[in-house]
Amino acid sequence: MNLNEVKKGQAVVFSGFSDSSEAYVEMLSSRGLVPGTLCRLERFFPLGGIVQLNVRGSMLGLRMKEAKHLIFECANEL
Amino acid sequence: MNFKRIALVGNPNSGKTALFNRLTSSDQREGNYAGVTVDLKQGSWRQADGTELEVYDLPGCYRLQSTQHDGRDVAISAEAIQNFGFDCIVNVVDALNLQRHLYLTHQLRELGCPMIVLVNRIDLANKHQIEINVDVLAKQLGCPVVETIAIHRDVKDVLAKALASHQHQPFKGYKLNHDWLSLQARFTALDPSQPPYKFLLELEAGHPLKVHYHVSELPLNIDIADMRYQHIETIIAASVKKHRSGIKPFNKKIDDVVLHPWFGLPIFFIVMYGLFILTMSIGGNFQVGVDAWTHALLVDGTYQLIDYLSLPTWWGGFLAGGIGQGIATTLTFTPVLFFMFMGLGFLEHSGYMARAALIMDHAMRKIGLPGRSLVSFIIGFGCNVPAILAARHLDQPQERLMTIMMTPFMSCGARLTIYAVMVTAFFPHGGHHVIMLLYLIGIFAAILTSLLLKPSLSLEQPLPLVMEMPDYQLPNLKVLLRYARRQTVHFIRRAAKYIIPLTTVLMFLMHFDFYGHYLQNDAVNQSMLALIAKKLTLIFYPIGIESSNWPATVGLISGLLAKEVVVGTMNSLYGQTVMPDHQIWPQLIDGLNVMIGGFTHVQWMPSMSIVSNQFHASAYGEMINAFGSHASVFAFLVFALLYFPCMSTIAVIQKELGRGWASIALSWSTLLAYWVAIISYQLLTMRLHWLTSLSWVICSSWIMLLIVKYFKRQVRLLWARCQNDLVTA
Repeated sequence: MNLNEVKKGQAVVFSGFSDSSEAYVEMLSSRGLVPGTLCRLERFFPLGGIVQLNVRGSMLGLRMKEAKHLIFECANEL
Repeated sequence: MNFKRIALVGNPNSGKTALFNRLTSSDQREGNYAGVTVDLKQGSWRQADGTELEVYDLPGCYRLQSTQHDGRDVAISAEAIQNFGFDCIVNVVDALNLQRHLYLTHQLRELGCPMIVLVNRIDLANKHQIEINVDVLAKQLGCPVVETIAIHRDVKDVLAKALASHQHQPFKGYKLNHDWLSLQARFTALDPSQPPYKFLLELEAGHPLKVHYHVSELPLNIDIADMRYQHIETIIAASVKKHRSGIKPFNKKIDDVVLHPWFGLPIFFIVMYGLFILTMSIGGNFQVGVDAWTHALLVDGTYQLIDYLSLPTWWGGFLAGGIGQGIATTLTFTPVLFFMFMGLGFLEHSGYMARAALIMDHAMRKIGLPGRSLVSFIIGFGCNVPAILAARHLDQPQERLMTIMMTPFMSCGARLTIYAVMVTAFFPHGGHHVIMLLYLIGIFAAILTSLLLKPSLSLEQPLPLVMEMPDYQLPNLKVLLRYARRQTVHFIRRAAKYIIPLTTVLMFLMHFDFYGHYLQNDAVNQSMLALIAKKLTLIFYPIGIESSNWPATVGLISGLLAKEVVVGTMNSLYGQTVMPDHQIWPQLIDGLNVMIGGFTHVQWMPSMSIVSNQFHASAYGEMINAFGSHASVFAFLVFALLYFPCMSTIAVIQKELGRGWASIALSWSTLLAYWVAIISYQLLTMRLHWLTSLSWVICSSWIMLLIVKYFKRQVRLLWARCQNDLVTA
């Protein structure tokens, strides 16, 4: 599923990139988001443009528009 | 081996600069967000045995590869780590986010250079019930690991001891355990003809081999990152015990409030307004006392000394009324600035600043900027110079350029001093609303500038945003005080640097006519300064400044050097006709009484009259007579807000972007200032002479449209000429 289908507080496993630029992939991987990483969608920001994702204990702010290309699986499905 | 140069390397916001300051007794800017250090800093660390080490503080980075999409700060770090040949790398990692910080550590270990891993903020990790076994971590990483708290005193001893253990033997590389050897074999398998780690660096930096080695469904560099993280997970599993889940409840609770979907934005505006109100309230109370003391000592004290020494009276006018008055007036504003910097420091160190940048990202994108530009703008309210340098952490050259060109419109602390004086004299009640309005006009001018630049800069698709949110922390009072003191001292130094020579020249021009005759105070209207300034003041006729108000023009001219000296200059000029009372002790005692009284009855919604009661009433009287109307004062303030950024700001713009952009910044800001000031004055006085005002509004707006068109063309030409330089820079 895409990030916009993930609910607030839901734990998910990152499984890949559907249509992301190379720069984005590099940025995310160096901050710990590689396929198989367990993460949690913590919140949607005011004005709705940003999501807060808990990755390996660090909080990352991502733009919703860009992050919708990230693919996740439900953590409990694994 | 004998260490001479060590580098502090780590992820952004891991505590490198705090460590650098502690080791080298420096006073570099610290903060709780990514991108505080944007340049290579060098310092000297004298160890207990007397030997000196060169210490380099590198901007934070997440990985060793820098691509064209990264900011200049990352490029500086990547270049320095790989090419500077440091004797030892001190890799600072955050104990609270160890897993992610070890990614860079892993890459550094792959390079095989001498290194020490310094696990910082170990106290907070213990508080969160995270237990790190540094011996096991050292064994797993295969290099020395020490734990410490970068802001504590013992950090020097801990690091010195770790370095000493290295220095006694020649470095032959670290032993690799089974996991490392296995990983090395996997890396080598990708290209057996290349040494694994150098090859990886090339590969990840966009080497063409990438295409040939695409062995799985994912890009190869992601495979490599995955291998590293798998190894890091093994290291963490062996060396770290968490007695509680990784989520930090304190952070979550605060985020639930300040990032609430409905209340987050109002909270942001309340925080900014609260900062302003607190600055004016608490700083204003101190200001009264400092004003009385500086005036008593520097002005009246100097007059008394001159009387005592029986020097000619013109010495009094020059030393006390000129230089003394100028310095006294400038010093008066240090409490307000000190508290403003304390407030800004609090926002930076608490962790809120990074979140504010994210809150505003959506709105900032409308003008083509990322939310991270907001950090530069907020710093710009303190001083434009570090704010412009802070733009280095932005990734795209267009974003950097736009942020730098917009930052001078953020009303800096020095400009606040001009507002405070003028508002004190003309808007004694509710003056803070006028000041707030001026700040907003500055922000609108910045937005207008972005609209001018945006179409000409061929803005590409914005680079994606991945921003780390720092943990909240209660700022350390010592660090805050040091930060506020540094900024305030910087203000005083800049003021002192310019105000003494400037006042000397002004006093000379003011007390002599073109025939070389000395003029008494009542004849200064015939002085060289008055005659020159009166001619120049004609330019300001459309904003309501008459030629008799020539000291205002001189004040604005002095502001070209530094905005810090405008108030001092004006006070010296307006105050020339003031006869001093020379009573020092009563003024000192009064100042203390008023200040103590102010704190027992703090006015949380500050009325500027608390300042005006103690200010040099006669100088104010002169100023009030000279300006005549509130409309002309407001227009003057608008002009002072927007016109020519100070010399230092222009110099930094030139350094960052080149001479062409610096020229555009200063000419655009001055013309915009003039136009906005004309519009303000004419609209405010329209009911008195509506036809004249309407003519001014229409004509000036039409000319401004032509100017905008001209600037758009210039921006397009300049961007076409220098975009390659800016991209590679």
